[in-house]
Amino acid sequence: MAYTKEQLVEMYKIMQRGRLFDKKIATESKKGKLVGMFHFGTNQEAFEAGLMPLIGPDDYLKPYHRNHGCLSMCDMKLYVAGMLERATGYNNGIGGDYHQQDIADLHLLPLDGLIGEDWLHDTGVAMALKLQNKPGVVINCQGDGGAQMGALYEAMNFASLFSLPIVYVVVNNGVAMTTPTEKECKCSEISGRAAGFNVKGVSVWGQDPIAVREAMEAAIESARRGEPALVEVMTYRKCGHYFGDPRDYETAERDARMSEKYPDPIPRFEKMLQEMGICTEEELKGYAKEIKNEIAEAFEWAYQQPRLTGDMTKGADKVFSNTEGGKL
Amino acid sequence: MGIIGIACNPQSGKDIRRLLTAATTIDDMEKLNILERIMLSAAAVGDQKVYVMPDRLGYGRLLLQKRQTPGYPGDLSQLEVYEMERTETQSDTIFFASEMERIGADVLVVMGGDGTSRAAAKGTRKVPMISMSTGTNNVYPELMEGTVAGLAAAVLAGKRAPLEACAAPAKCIEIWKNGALVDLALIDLVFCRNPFVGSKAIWNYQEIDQVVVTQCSMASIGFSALVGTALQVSRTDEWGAMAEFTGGTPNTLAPVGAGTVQGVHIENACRLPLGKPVTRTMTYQGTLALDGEREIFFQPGDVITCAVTRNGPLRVDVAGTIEYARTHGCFQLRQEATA
Repeated sequence: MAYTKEQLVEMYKIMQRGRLFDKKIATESKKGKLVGMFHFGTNQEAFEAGLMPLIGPDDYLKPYHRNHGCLSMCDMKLYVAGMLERATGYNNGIGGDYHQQDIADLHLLPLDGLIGEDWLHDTGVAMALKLQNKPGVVINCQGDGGAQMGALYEAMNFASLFSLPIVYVVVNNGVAMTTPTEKECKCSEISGRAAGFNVKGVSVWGQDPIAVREAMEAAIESARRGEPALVEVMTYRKCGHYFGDPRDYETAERDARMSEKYPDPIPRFEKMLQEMGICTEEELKGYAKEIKNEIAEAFEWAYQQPRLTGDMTKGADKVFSNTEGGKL
Repeated sequence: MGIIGIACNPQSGKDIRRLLTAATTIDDMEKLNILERIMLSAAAVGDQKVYVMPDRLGYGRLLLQKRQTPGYPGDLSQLEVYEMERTETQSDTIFFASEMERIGADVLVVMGGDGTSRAAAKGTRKVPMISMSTGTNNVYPELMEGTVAGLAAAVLAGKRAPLEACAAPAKCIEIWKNGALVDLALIDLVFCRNPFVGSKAIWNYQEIDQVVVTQCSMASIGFSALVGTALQVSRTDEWGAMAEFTGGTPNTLAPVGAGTVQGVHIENACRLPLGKPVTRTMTYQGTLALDGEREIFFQPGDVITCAVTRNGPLRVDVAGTIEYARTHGCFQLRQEATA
């Protein structure tokens, strides 16, 4: 067998963590307990399940804004506290859901407010690793919308030219904010662009965590050799751009077609694990309950943490700097 | 009026094997160029209708746009995008091929790898098929110039050559699981020890248990070439072959994939007469890989039967078709009488 039960269960839990965390946010938002805009990744959790287990202690990850599966590398309590603007959370609570980061300890790179700009920032991190002769690989995640930004060209050209240890991941979920991919891009697959930079690019069906993991393993291995790679994860976003988005831009015909092409990865994986005799239905329910409890506890703890006050958001130590300021 | 169908797989030549090996990448633009060359060449030879399968990118739609470009010098007037619901999966190729049979198409041009030709074969085994290589392991399809494929397609669409002179049934491997016919392969069937379908490709050759082939030669790549290290079977031979692979000390070099030649341990390689079933009761969890792609999961106790037969698609001999047409004057131009 290519994967152990432990590895397969880990992948399952990552998918459930992403899905259930999004659901918890929806529940809490409806209660009026959360403020801000939240971006869900419903139906694309297999991407995180395939990627996250491969990230080693020397590697750096820049998730994108529908990446709650990346919580598997965070302390969930600190993440939720950060999201709830609590002073004890990550980034002293000023990151919100979108901009949480911990470069020094978790190697969790910041997400730029301008989608598609951090192609460049993360390529710079890969350059730094190379110059400092450090062993890690940078994983830069974007959506298909981010892939239409000009920074892609500069970043991939640079990465190719200098043989940088970086994997570009494009989560092509069929819609960029509110624009269907076919209205923003004239290529059938975005991975084809990599060839223009002498970078290897592949597309992988994103509803099977095993398929994603196999592609990511190959891409990370390639990047460690100094051959940057682009992996396009083909999937479909079964939710709005933000929580509360009515999805007026999505037609029933397209939704039905895309849903058939990209079925829910969680029950699909559950069925496979049961058919292969790896997990029973009861075991799977137990893992989901465990994650649900973990999330509930994190929210409960975070709600009790001190709120961020205005004066805590100011100061030079809140600005990233190599030489001055504090750790964010 | 004759009908040519063209199915171009936008996803062929883009899978994970580009990362694992030095496999060829064929991008959208190149496929579009090939498609255009087929159309232009066919139009120069005869009048016919050309249906292109709709796809996510819209190769046919892009060519229609090109046709409308002021000053475009080519003749794309025969082009029509076939109206059908698309799923953007392999099912589209299967359905399109079956539709070509239903409407009486004279020839089907398939652009892709072994897997794409296999999908088309699942849709029709009656419409003569020209398989063009734009994939990864291309044993069944041929690497050919689009212009040449267009010439042969137009000859068939214009009924300028008898079908029996141009095409013959290909071999295939029919596969049954627990008594039910589940699928077919055109080139190779691999019993793979990896139980996950995953990204479909196989690159850990230690996972290969047994390979059954319709044809094999070391002068190719992929799993048929593994058997090809022991014997050669041509596409016209009235038999297939099979061999087993173990973790024993490698006893031969094999061109297992694009740019990958490595040692393997091969045993019990033998010819397999057409129609002779091979039945195994599986003792481990694994997958059946068809034409290079893991597709079908099996459990211990599952009974897998396969047989090499002549029930494959009608394969067009492109060079032979053109030569027949040439020697029968099909390309000769009439001399206009001068006043």
